[in-house]
Amino acid sequence: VALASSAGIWSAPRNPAAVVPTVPPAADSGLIDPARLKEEYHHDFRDNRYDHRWLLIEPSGPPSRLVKPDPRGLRIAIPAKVGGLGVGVFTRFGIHGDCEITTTFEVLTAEKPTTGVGVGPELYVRTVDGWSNYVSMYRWLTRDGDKPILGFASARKAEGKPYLDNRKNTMTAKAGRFRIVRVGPVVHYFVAEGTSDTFRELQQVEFVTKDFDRVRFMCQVNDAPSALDVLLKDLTIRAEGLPGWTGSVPQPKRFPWWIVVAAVSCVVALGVGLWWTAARKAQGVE
Amino acid sequence: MIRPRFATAAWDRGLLAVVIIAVAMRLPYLTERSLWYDEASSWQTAIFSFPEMLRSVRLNVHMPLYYILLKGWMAVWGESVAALRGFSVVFGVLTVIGMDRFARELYRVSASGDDRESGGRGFGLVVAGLVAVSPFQVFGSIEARMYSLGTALVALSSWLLLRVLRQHGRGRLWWAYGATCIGLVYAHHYGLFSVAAQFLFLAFYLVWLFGLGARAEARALLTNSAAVGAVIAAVYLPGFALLRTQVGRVQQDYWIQELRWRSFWGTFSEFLVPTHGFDFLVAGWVVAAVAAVSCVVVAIRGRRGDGLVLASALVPMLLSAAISTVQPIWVARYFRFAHLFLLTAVALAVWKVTRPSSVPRSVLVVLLFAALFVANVLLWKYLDIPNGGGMRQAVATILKERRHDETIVTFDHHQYFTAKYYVGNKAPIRLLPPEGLFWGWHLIRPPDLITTAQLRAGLRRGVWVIDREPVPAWRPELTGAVPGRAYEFHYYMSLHRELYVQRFALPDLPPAQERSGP
Repeated sequence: VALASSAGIWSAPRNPAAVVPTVPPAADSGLIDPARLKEEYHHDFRDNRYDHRWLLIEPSGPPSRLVKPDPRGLRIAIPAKVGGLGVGVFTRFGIHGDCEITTTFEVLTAEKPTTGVGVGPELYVRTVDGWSNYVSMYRWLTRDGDKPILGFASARKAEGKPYLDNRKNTMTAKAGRFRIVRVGPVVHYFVAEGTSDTFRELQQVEFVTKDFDRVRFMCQVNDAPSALDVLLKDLTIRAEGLPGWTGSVPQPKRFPWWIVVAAVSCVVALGVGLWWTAARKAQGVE
Repeated sequence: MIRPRFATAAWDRGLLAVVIIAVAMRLPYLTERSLWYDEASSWQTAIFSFPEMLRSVRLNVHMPLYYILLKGWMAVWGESVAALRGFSVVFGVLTVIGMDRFARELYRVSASGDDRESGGRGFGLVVAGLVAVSPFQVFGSIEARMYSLGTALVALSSWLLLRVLRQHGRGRLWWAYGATCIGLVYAHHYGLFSVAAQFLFLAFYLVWLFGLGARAEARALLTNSAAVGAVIAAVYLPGFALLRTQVGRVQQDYWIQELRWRSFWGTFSEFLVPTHGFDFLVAGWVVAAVAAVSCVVVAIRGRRGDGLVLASALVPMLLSAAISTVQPIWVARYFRFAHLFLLTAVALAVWKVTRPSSVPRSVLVVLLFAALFVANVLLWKYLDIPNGGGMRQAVATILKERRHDETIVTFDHHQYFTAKYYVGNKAPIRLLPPEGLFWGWHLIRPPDLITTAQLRAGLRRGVWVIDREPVPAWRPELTGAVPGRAYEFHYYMSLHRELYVQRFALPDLPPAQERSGP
C-alpha cells in the first residue's frame, strides 16, 4: 500500500515536462570570451515548465500560490491590496567570476501605485555579502512618473561605507529582456525592448568580483496595494562557475520503478519461501 | 495459589520500578532547557483557534492529531514548559508500559522465548527498561513534539496485533487495533510506514497459515484484517489528501538533505546519542553493526513475533530510503517508531544467543544498559544545559534590562516563536521577516510582523534585536542606530548553537532647528 501510494504521492505533483528548453538562450553579449563561460543554466518557462530543482519561490508562504506555471511562461499575478514586498523566484545556486545573466519577461498588468517606491519586475543578483550588496535592473511604475522607469542599480560596501548607484531611464515596452554582464569588477546593464533580440547597453559601473549567491526575478509591489501580473519567460545564466549547480539541464527525477520491482520481487520471494517452508512443516518433513 | 500472586506482585513492582526510572530519566532540566523552534511551533499551532490550527497544519509538514490533543491538554494544564513537555513525558511513559506489554506477548511467539509466564515478564521488563533509558527515546519524550505520542501508539498497536493473533481475532480487539493504527497515521507521516509494516507482516502470516493448511484460521484472519485495513484506509483518506498538499511544499522548500551515507550512519549515531547533529558518527557504525547482527540472529528460524519485530524495525527504513531516492524524507528523529523494534530485536538476539545459560545473558543485558547509561551521560554533557540557557535566558535578560517602551525584534523566524513564547505578554515582540524566508509562514500571522518603517520608529525609543549573527548593525534597517549592550547566549540545540542579543537605538539628536549648520 505504502509503495503504491508513495509512487502516486511523489510522482503526481512533479512537473514531468521541465526538461529540454524549446527556446534557445539569447546570443551572448560578446563582452566575454564564450570559452570562459564554462557553465550555463537555461530554463524556458513556457509550456508550463517550472524548475523545481534549481529555483525557489519567494516568499514561500501563502503568497507563493501567486506563482503559477502557464503556457506563456511563469505567471506571477499579485492581486490588488495584497501588499508586501512582492513575489518571485530565485536560484538555489550562485555565480563565480565573470558572468552574463539574461531574462525575458512581459508585464501583463501593472497598476500605478499610490504608495511605495514602485511596482514592476526586477532582476536582482546578490553577492555572498548579503542583501545590501547587489546589482539589479527593474521596470517599475512609480506613483510620480507617467512612464514606467527602467532602473539599473548596484549597491556594495567598501571600507565600511555603503555605496549605492541607482540610475533611471524609461521603458515603455511592456515586454523585454534584461541582461546583466560582469567582466572583472565592471558590471554592464543591457536591455532589449519588446520582442527585439538587439540589446542596448545602458550603463557600466564599477562593482566587485565577489561571487554572487543568488539570482532573483521578483515582481515587486513594495507595500503598494497595486495589482501586478507578470510573465517570466526564460532565464539564462552563463558564468565561469555556478557554485551549487550540478546539472547541465534540469532533468526531472523519475520514480525509480526498479526499486518497486525489486521490493515486490523480494516480497514475493519471501512469501513463496514462507509458503514452501510452511507446507513442508505441515507435511512433517522437518 | 499464594506464590504466583506474590510473583506477579513482584514483577509488577519491577514494572513500577522501570516506570519510575523512565520518569526519572525524563525529568532533568524539563523546564530549564529552553524551548527550541520545533517545540515553539507546536505551542504556536496549538494556541491557534481550531480552524486556524487546521489551516496551519495544512501548510505544515505534520499530521494534526498531536496538535489537537495538545490543544486539549493545554486547556487543562496550561501553557507552561512543564505542561507542554509533560504531555510528551506522559506518552513516553505510556510507551515504556506499552513496550513491556508488547514484549511479554512477543515472548510467547518468538524463537527467542518460550511459554513461561515468568520468562515473558523478565523479557518485557528488559525491553521496557531499554526503552526507558534509551537516550533516543528519552529525548523524544521530553520535547513538545509528537514523537512520543507516535511511539505510544505504535507500541500499543503492536501489542494489540499480537493479542489479536493469539486470540484468533476477537472482534473488539481488532477494532481497538484499527483505532490505534488510525491514531498512528494521524500522529506522524512515518506512522504510515509502521502501519504498512504491520500489514506486510499480516500478509506474510496469512501466507504462512495457508501454507500450513490452516485455512479456516487464515480465512478468518484475512476477513478481519481486510475489514480493519479498509476502515483504516477510508479514515486515512483526508490524511492522504493532507499528505499530498504537504508534499508540494516539501518539494518546493523543505530542508531535508538528500540521503547520503553520512546521514545513514548519522541516523544510527542518533539512535545512541541524539544530538541532532551526527556528532558521534563513529558510534553510528557500531550501533548499525549491532542492529544488523541482531536482526540476522532474530531472522534465523524466527517465529511469528520475530517477523513482526523485523518488519516494524526495517520496513519504515526501507520505505523511507526508497522514497528518498525521489524526494528526500529521511530524517533521523522520524525513526523513533522503528527504533523501538530495533531495541526489541537486540533484546531478542541476546535472549536467543544466550539461551542455554542465564549468566552470559545477564552480562549482555548489563552491558546494554551500561552502554545506554553512558550514552545518556554523553548526551547531557554534550547538551550542557546549565551553560546553554538559549532563548529562555536571552528573554529573561532582555526583560530585566529593557525600558518599558522598548520593542524586541528578531530577523530570524527560528528565534521568533521561542522568543514569543518566553516573552508572553510582558513586552511587544515582532518579526522582521528576511527576504527569501522559505519556511514558517504557516505560523506567522500579520500581528507577528513589523515593517521596516515601524522598526525605524521603534529605534527612536530603543529596540532589542535577537539574532543568530553577532552584530547585525550592517542591516539597512538599522542604519544610523547605535549599538548598545550586547549579550551572547549558548543554545543546546545544534540548530541554534549561539544566540546574540543587542540593544539598538537612534542617537538622541537635538531638534532640527537647533542643529548646528554643516
